[in-house]
Amino acid sequence: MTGKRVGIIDTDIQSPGIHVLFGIEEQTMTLALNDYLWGDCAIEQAAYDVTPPSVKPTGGSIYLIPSSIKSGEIARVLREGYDVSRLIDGLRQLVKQLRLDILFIDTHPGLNEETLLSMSISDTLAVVMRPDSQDYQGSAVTIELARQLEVPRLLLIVNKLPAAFDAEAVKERVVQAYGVPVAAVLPLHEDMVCLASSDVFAVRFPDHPLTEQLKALAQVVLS
Amino acid sequence: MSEHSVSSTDDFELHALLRLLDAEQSRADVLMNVVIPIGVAMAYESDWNRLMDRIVTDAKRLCRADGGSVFIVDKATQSLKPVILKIDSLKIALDAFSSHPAHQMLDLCCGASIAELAAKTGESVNLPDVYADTSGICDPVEEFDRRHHYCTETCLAVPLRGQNGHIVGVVCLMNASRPGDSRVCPFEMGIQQVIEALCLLAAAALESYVRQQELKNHVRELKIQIDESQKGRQVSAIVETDYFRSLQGRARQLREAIARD
Repeated sequence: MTGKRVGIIDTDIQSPGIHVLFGIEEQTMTLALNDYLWGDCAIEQAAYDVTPPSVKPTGGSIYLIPSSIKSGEIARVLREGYDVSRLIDGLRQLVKQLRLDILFIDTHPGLNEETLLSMSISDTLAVVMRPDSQDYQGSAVTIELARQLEVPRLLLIVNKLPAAFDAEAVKERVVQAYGVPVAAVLPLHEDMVCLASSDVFAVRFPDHPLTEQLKALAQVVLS
Repeated sequence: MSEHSVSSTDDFELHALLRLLDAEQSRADVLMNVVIPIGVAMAYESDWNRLMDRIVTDAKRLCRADGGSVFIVDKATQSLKPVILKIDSLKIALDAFSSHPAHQMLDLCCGASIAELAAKTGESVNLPDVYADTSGICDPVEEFDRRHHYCTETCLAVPLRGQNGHIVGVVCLMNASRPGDSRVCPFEMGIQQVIEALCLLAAAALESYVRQQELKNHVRELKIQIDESQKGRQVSAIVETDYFRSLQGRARQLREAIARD
């Protein structure tokens, strides 16, 4: 991932959250994905350069396209909806205008139109799953839909695994149950919990063992 | 005369004080040099049988007891289960993990009534003369003695108190002796306190072991249950919509267009 131009778009319009990691607040968020979807701006205008200072020397860039966190705008989406197909055009424009090497689409955890749309246009779908009964069925449905949408590559990421669990055993079981490669089994780490989404973990803890696992995950996603 | 008498009393009190200080010092030394290292070793024990053996062996060693046993509270039934019994002079070493004939299983349970009293009250039960007890809790011990031509003279049962104060088990010790003297003696207050300190550490090690095992068992039992028929219904409900069909078509076209580009 080093030196790449990376875009991150928050398509979870109903409950946005990625902006928090990059320290973007309501006051500083002048334009958002919502403004593009309603035709009020070009999509690249809603992109914020959130490249951490430690990443800049590598030549890489990170752009974030947040969803609006203004309650009125969230309510408007819920009330009026929007032209979902406009999102496809926006994503393509974004890749082109910002010359992105990779675009991460963060979706709503459940299945809705944006999620299905995002899946349909992705080269890789990474389903993040906790070792929790609540996630098993939903992940199975998502993976089946991704297969029907002919998503070229499917990955599973097991997240928040308690440290005492045997990661390899869990990985084996997940592969067996879903028939999908497991890109990473990430532990539930106290440092991550304590960070409380106030920063990007790998930036705050560059030498942390979890950061090493995240780097390995990035390699798998890019490979 | 009077001065001499005062001086003798002072000497006596001074010597008594010095003996007390010596006893306190040696107890502190035992705690520091013996009990704490044993507790640390217990905390790192990863095998249940070895942990049980270590608890009973180390407790016996600390008070030079001839016999010792461990009872653990069964979480499901909330009753005490015997797990290990060792009596050196009888060369008895029984544990609940191996299969034994009925009479040996009876031996394993011999201190159960005394252990139950310690577990129930949460206090150590110190019996300086087992055969003088008339409450009935020593009856199984006396039966054991008759079977083995043994004599349990003194007994100490110390509860294993877990982190939240609940009792997780009991350690029973029989027939203590003093250094350099093979005769059986009561479990003195000082040694009882040392054994209680050891039992605190043993309970912590025990709880830690159980917690880790529970987590490991959970991994072994981690069953990813997917209801295939429900999944089929959920998938059908989505893929049979016009929206999904058009999305499939559009996705295909889009990918072809990207490939051409």
